[in-house]
Amino acid sequence: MNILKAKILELGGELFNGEAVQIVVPSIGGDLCLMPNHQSIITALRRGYIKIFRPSIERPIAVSVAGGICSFSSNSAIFIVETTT
Amino acid sequence: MANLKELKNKINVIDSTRKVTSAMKLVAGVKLKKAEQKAMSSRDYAAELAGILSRLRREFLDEKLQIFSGREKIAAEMLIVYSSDRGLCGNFNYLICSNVSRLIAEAHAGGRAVHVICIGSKARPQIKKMINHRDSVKEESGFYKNTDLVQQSMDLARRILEYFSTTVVDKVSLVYMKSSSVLNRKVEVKTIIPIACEPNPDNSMTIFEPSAREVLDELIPYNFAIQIYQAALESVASEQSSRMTSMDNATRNADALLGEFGIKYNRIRQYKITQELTEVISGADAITKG
Repeated sequence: MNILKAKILELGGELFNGEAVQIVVPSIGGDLCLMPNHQSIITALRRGYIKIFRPSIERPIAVSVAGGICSFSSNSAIFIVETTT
Repeated sequence: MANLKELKNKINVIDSTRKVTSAMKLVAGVKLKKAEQKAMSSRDYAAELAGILSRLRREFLDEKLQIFSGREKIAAEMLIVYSSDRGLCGNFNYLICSNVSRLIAEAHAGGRAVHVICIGSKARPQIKKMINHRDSVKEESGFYKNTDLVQQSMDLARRILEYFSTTVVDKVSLVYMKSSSVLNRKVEVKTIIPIACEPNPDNSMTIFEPSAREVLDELIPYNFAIQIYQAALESVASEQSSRMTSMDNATRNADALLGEFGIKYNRIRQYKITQELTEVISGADAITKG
């Protein structure tokens, strides 16, 4: 099964670092779904939830963000975020 | 006897001061470790952000963006100065202020106005004496006291960007103390606007959503925030290491004084005892002879 790596970082430290099969990103233009072998993309985030679907776990992890940037390339997604207070 | 009492009081005072300085040294050591750990955890963030910024920079090679290339004429510059909120940290604040004084003098010589934002309350009174009518000095009150240093850094980053985009300032630098070890510290001047960033040589196709410009506008405050945050942590670590060194010196001095006064005290006490004994013996001698 194809998987991708996900890392969510905020100024104070790391919020998530692990593997995923699918990530739903709250992009400024609307929700984006990142799957393995997606083309390289850099997108700005709006306030919302990053949903991470992990391998063999049905329920996704939802991380609440107030904004930030998502960069995806070579099956690795990096989120630079500002968390909601 | 009065002399002996005075000496005893002195010894007690030095001893209690020694206890305070020794405790302060330990507290500074713990705070230093905490600040270093926080700085370590933000390094990953800074590295990833620099990577994204350099990929974005490649998109704007043909455009001359002022945020990267800087303005042709610099009329005003901004210094963000990190000092401490408290004293008893050796020459930490003095070194910062003397460097700021040099930078302000250079700016005035080049005909530039200087706007200073002070983080930490100790530098502001000194910097106020260095500026002229065109300059300004503001204090970010409670920057270190506020528990949410992350949010404070983000807010300050957005304000700086606004000052730059409304041409209030044309160049922004951070002035902070950086320590390479507990004993080695030096003042660092880091320019954050214009942004120094080399474009990524990788030519692979990247989609920017909604557009490269909008992503860049969103990313820039994060870039400033991480630099402001990391400089604050470096400054706190340096302040604590400086405090640790000076409290260690103070404890050593107190130890030396305690030793010196202890010998003096014992010598006087011995002299008094000998004198009293001599008096008693000669008194007894006189009675037996008489």
